[in-house]
Amino acid sequence: MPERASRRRHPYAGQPDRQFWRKEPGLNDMARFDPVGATSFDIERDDKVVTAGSCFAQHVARFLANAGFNFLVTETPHPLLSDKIAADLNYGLFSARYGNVYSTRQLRQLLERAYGTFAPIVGAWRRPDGRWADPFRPQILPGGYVSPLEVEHDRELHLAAVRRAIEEMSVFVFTLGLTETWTDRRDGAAYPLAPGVAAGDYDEDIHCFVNLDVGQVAEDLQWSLDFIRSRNPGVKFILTVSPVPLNATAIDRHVAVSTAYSKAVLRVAAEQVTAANALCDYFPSYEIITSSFTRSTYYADDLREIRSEGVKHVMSLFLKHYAGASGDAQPSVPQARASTPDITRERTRKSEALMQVLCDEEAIDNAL
Amino acid sequence: MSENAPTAVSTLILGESHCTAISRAIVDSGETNLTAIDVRVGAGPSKINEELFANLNPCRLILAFGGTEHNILGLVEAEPRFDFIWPPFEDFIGDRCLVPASALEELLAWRMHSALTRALSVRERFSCPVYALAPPPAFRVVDERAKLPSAFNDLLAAGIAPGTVRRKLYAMQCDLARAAYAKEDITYIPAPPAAVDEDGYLLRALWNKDPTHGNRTYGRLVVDHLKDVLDA
Repeated sequence: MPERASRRRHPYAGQPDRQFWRKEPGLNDMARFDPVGATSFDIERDDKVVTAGSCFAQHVARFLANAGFNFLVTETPHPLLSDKIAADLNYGLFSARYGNVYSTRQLRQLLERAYGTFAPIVGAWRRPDGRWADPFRPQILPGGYVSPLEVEHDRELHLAAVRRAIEEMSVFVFTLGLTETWTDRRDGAAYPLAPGVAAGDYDEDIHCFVNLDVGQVAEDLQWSLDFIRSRNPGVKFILTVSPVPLNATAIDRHVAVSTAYSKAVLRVAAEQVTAANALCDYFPSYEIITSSFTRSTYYADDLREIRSEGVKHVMSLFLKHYAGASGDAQPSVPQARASTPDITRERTRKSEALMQVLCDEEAIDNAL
Repeated sequence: MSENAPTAVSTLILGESHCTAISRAIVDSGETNLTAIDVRVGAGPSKINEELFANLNPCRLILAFGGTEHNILGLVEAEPRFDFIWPPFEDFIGDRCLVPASALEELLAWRMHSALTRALSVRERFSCPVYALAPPPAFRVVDERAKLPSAFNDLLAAGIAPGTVRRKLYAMQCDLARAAYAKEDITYIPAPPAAVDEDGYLLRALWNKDPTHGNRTYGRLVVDHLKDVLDA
C-alpha cells in the first residue's frame, strides 16, 4: 500500500512566523519582539483585576490602573492617613496588603488563612527594635506593630479584604516568583522571608528550608485556582513568572544555578496548570525580559532589577493582547482609595483651625 | 531687644496656651520662684514674642509648647470611626476601624513638629537645664458644663471620640514628645499624677468650659508638681 500523502511537506511547513527563531522581528528590532500568543479572553474596562505574586507583580497593578482598568483594591487606608503614609504602609501596592507572595505555597496558605481553614501556630514575630511583625507579611508596616494584639487585629482586617478581593474579582493575575521558602516544621506555615531576616528568631529545630519542586508548585497552584473558583466561578486567570533572579539562595551552590532551577520549575508548573484549566493563560513576561531577543538590556546595573523600559515592553504587550491597547504603556502611582471628597480630612482641617481658636481664647476665657 | 541687665529667675516656664492656667495659679499663690509666660502674647498664633523673655536669666527652663495635636487628630469622630492599640492600653472597640499605631505616630509626630521646633528655638537662647512639660491629660466625657464656640457645632454633630481612644492619643503624644525631647537632652515632665482619675482621665474639677485646657486649679497642681519634681 502506498503511504498516504501528507498535506504538508514536513510538520514545520506552513506554520506561523512566530514559531521560527529567524523570522522573529525582534532579531532586528528589539521593540518588536512579541512572544505573546492567542489569549483565551479579553480584559474589559469594568473587569475587576486583582494582582498578587512576587515584586514583579506590582508593575501590573501600576500599569493597569494608569491604562484606565479597574484595578480592584479592597484594603484601603483610613482617610486620616495621608497619601504618603498610605503608600509607605503599602496600601494599593496590591489589591490587599499581603505584600509579596513569592511562592505558590504562600498563595495557598493565604487563601486558607483568609477562609479560616489554616490557623498558624505563630501569630507575630518580634522585631529587633522591640516592635512586632506579621510573619506572613513582615515588611508590610515599616514602623512595626506595637503589640501582638495589634498584629492580630490588623490581620483580621487584611484577611477580610483578601476575601472581598477573591469574591469580587473578574481577573486574577498571579506572578510566580520563588520555589525556595522557609516553613515552620510544626504546622507547615510558609513564610515570605526567613525568620530572623526582618523579624523573628531563626531556630533550626522549628524552621526548615523547603525548595518546592514542579509537582508541589503545580499542586499548590491548582489547589489555589480551584479554591478561588469555588468561591467565584467566573474568575479568569493569568499566570506569569517573575524574570527577577533570586536575591539569595539557601542552598550551597551559586545563586545563578538556584535561579535557573527555580525559574524552570515555576515555568513548567505554570505551563501545566495553564494547560489543565480553561480561561487560564500564561503570559510570557519572563520570556520578554530574559530572552536573547531583548539582549539582556532590560536588566538594571545590578543585573537583577528590571529597568522601566523592560516593564513597559511587558505591559505594553499585556495591554495590547488583553485589552486591545496600542502604544507604550505607562505606570502610575498606586491609588489605594477613590478620589472622592473626604469627610475626615475636612473635619481634621476644621478641628485644627478651631483648636487654634480655643488656644487663642484660653488666655481670655478659661479664667475661672 | 531690651538692653537692661538680665533678671535672674528661679524657674521660667515658656510656652503657649497651656501656660495660661499655670500663670494664673502662680499669680493666685504669690509664687516667686516660678515665672510662666505665654510667648505668643503680642506675636500671634505660632509666633514667638522674644521680647517677653529676652531679659530673663533662669536657673531652670520649662518648655510648654503645643499640646493639643492629639485633639486635632482625635477629639472629633473620624469617618469611619477608628481605634488603635497603644500599650499599655490594649483596649479596642470592636466595631471600629483599626488604624496602625505606627501610622498614627507618624501623623501625630508630623503635627507636633511645628511646636517642637518652636520649643527648641526658644531653648537655644538659654544655657540652663531644660525640661518640657506634658499638656493636660484627656478628659473623660464632654458634659453640659462644657461650652465650645458655636463654630464647633458642625464638628460636634459628628460626635466626640470615646475617652478610651483620646486617652491613647494623649499617651502617644506624650511618648513621642518624651522621645523627641530626650534627643535634645531635655527631661520630659508628665502631667501631675493627682490630676487624673483612676483611669487616667483629667479630673472634671480641673477643666471648665473648654475640655482641651486645664483651669487655674489644674495650674495649681502643675505648680506643686513642678516643685516636687524639680526639687527631688
